Amino acid sequence: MRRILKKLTAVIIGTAMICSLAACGKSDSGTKASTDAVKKESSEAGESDTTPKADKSSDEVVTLKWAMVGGGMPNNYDAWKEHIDAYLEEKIGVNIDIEVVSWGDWGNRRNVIVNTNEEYDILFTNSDTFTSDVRLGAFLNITDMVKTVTPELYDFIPEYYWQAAGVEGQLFAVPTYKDSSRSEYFIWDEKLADSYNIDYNNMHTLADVKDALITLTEGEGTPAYLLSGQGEDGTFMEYDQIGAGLFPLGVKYNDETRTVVSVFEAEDVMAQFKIMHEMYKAGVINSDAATLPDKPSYTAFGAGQGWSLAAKTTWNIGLGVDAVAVQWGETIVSNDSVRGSMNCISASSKNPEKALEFLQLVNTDAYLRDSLFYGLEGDNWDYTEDGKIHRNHLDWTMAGYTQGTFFIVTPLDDTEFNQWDEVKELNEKAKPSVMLGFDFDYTSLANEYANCMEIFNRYRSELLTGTAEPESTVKAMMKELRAAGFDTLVEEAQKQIDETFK
Amino acid sequence: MFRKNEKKKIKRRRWTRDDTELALLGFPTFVWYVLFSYLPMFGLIIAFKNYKISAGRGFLYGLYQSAWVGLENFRFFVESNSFIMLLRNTILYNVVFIALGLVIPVTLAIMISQLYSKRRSKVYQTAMFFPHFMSWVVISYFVYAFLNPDKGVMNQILAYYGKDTIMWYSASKYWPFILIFMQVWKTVGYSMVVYLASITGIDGTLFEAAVIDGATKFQQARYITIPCVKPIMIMMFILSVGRIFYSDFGLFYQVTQRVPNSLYTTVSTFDTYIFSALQLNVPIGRTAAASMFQSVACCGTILIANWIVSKIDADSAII
Amino acid sequence: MGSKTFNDIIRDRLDEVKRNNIIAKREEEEANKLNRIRKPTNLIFNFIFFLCSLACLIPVVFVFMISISSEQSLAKYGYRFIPKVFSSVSYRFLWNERDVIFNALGISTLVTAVGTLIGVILTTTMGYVLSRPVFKLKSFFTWMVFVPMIFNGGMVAQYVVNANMLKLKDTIWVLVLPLAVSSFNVIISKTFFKSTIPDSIVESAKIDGASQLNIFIRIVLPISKPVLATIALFLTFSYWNDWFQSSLYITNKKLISLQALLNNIMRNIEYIANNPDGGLSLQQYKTSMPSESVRMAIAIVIVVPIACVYPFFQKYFISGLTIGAVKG
Repeated sequence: MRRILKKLTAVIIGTAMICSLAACGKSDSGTKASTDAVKKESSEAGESDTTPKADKSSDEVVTLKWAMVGGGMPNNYDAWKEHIDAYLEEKIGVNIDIEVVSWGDWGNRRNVIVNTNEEYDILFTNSDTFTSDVRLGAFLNITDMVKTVTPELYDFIPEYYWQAAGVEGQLFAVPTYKDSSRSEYFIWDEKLADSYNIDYNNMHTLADVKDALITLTEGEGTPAYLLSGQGEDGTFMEYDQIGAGLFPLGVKYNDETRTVVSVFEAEDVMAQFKIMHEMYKAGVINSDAATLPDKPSYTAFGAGQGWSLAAKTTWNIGLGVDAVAVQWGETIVSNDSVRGSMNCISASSKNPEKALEFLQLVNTDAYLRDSLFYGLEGDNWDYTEDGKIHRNHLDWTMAGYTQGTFFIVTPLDDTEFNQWDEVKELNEKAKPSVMLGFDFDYTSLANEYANCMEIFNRYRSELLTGTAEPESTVKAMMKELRAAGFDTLVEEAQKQIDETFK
Repeated sequence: MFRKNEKKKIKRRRWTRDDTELALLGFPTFVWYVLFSYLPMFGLIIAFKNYKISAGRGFLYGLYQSAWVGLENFRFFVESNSFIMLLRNTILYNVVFIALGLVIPVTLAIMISQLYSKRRSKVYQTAMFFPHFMSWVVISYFVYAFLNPDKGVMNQILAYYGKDTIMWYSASKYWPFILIFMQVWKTVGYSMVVYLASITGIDGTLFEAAVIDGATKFQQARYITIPCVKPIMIMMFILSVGRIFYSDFGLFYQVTQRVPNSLYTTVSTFDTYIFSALQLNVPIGRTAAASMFQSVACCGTILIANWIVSKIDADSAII
Repeated sequence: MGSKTFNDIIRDRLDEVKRNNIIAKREEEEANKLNRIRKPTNLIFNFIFFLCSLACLIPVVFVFMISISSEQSLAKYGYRFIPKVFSSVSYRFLWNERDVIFNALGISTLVTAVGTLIGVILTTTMGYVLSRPVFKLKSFFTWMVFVPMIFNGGMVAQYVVNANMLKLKDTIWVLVLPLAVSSFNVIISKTFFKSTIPDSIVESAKIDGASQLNIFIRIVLPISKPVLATIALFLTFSYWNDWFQSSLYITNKKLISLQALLNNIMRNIEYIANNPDGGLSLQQYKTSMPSESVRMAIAIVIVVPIACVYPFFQKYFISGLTIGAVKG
């Protein structure tokens, strides 16, 4: 009897599973691509049968769904949506439906949206997940579409930046053209630095600032350079991580031979680590840096990615004092610098062309851009007479950097200068990394990769905060890494690079 | 021999009206299980496949189309660097937790049931329940306030007595004790309540009879209280063993401030490892395989535990 | 005999039980006086429990103290039991948000109340059914309850079922239903019923023609207050503390529960701190994040309501005593 009951159980469960498979397989509409094409990785070039059916007649208004990260849904979202829908209908015949997922929920929510192939048209993406999602087949290949449907958008963003938004030469995302090149800055508490007569404007390397920082620390009696467990990744900023995110493995951005090296053993990087360690020993860096979850808001000296005018608009607010920023190292554009913010179109989107048109509008139409960036006109902000914007209140939870370019955003009326001009200049002068557009495909070496990542993550805090003695620590780490297959990864990466850049 | 015959008899019983009524009584819960536990079980297949999205179709279709990779996702998990270390940590910590989780709450429950003042006993219970309300995130702030190398209370005390301060978050030898203490601290109130509920249900006449026979308190506890609480203890034991490959993520990840280097080999468990893997956007097949490994292993241990218990005392086995 | 209705029989039976129990209690109390621990032991026990309670409460007090410290004093002096500089800034911050917070409080309460009710019903019915010694489908149900303790489909599969198949996304039911039953609770209730409900009374009620449903409601439940309270307590906590369901399924701000809302803020801060790749644009948001004392105030707001509710449940453990176990 028990056996029969058990069989019954199995049958019921089995039936339930099969029913659910059948039900859901049917309930989704969509064009029918042949099953073979579906099985093939859709990141492969030119699979145009995943391009959905042609747009409906231009009389019909389509609703696009956009999922992005931010502070959660804005309070006046409904009013805002109504207002902007009217505008959009006129312009390109769409309505927009935005889901703003709050920061803390983004990881889970994005994971679920992508993996269960929930219905969406546009999704905010960044380097953490871009390549793996492309390989999963989540995003639409827009290489041809962007040139034919939205040539304006294509021309607006310079070539290098498109390269970074591609995988194996195929475009899968629209990069957000903002501070997409990476410039690191030394950020000083202006008054404090002046009081010690520090000539910060002429200090562009760690070696330059070291002595000044020691003076500061001794003078103030507290560490001048406060770090958290994240450490200072500017120390190896000149090395491109080739899309792998494994810091010890990279290619120097201007290395024409494109040789994959062990980054932390490179002389220039080791030199930087040594300086960090000396500063740590001298008390310039806080002793608990490696275990701090996040940095305190105020630090007399710090380093960060941005632009010099950010010292007058953002960094000073964060620090609570006047700040000044001096560039550290070169301005480089690489995959990682661009991929901080991108928008991708779902491979299952029913209106990909409209979605792309919409993205183009976001990047070219100032009114739409302002509405996304600042909120509802009349409520959150208003235009002033001299063409600037006055913010009535700050209660707008959408994150401007996730949506589109900064360069058509109307500046606020509380500053004289337009910081975006500087950013644009930086972008234009940026030096391209030789590894633009290349992603190391380590799926065949997943075990080695995961093991190496885990080893590195263990050493990361203590190495990057200068807590541990660099030479011996790097030696120990490399020993473990090599035992875990680091050299195999290097070899494979080199092989792929050589083939791609023949 | 009798038992076998009895069992045979029961098997051939016909369906009675009683059975129908009981079946109906249990029906709503049955529906719940089908919808919320069994329906999602198709997700178990994910561990055996290399999931790829099928554009324009739903999740299930995509899953159906994805290639089978057999046990390869499991290989990834088992062959990783740290598998042995994770195994050792997870199991050892859980063994200690289980042992302490049985002894301490039961002892405390017996003690608290003996207090003169019931009112005071209630107050103590409420107070001791507090840790259960707090999430590990909040608790980790508190622990940090104690163990912070610069400003923490512990180091302030040490300095006051002229001893060397300790870099707590880099000293791995203290952490097993710290974690065990925190686990006990958080769960003792909760467990004590469960056992207390059972103790209050014990028939008072048993104690009367014992007193008449001249039993001491210890003897009463040993021969009456504990045997009456035994069913619950055993049930908790089996259920805990059934989670032995799982760990409380919040405890091992939040309280340690995200597992810094020096503590890695001492405090990492399967769950913290899987979490790191998820952070790296590892394909869902791999994380599903790791979870399934935990599930299967736990299945094995719980069946073994249940079997052992059923040999000793057949009524207490939960299956 | 007079024509006693079935209800009368049940009532008489119950009264008899109650009377027996009251007698038993009185006898027990008298015996207890003889059976008490010695006074010194009582003192020692009290002392031990006093220490334990202190150890359990100090963190809460500490967190409260931090929440009323000013941000500057935290930065300068670190965490202290008695703040150097008091400040009610964090609570004022939360008070400004009170609309949102009260709404969330309402949702939490609603979800917890409804969920606990549904959960208790589903759990105890199954627990009772499983505790019956003779039941055809017993092993089937036992396995059905047992298997999900070991195997589960995972977050993705559950999402597909809840959101796509059952269409529960962004509704209050997705916060209530998936958490209603846990096999752990079912087994606890089963063990309780098995060890406290004597078969004799069930059998005699059956002979008198009662249906199982009647037996369950009229006889079993009234004497099961301890287990009902226990299960209700467990359910209340899991509902009150849950934020994961919200984070995955809820976008509508009006449906966010208190724990989700407040936890959200904490995790937002973590996300920003752990994502230096977002660059300056992302870090900008950090400056608008609530400070440490606010985070602590949030923790207090989460903990206090539930701490107030618990004493009420405690009452039922004690009241369960007056009905107690059936004798003979």
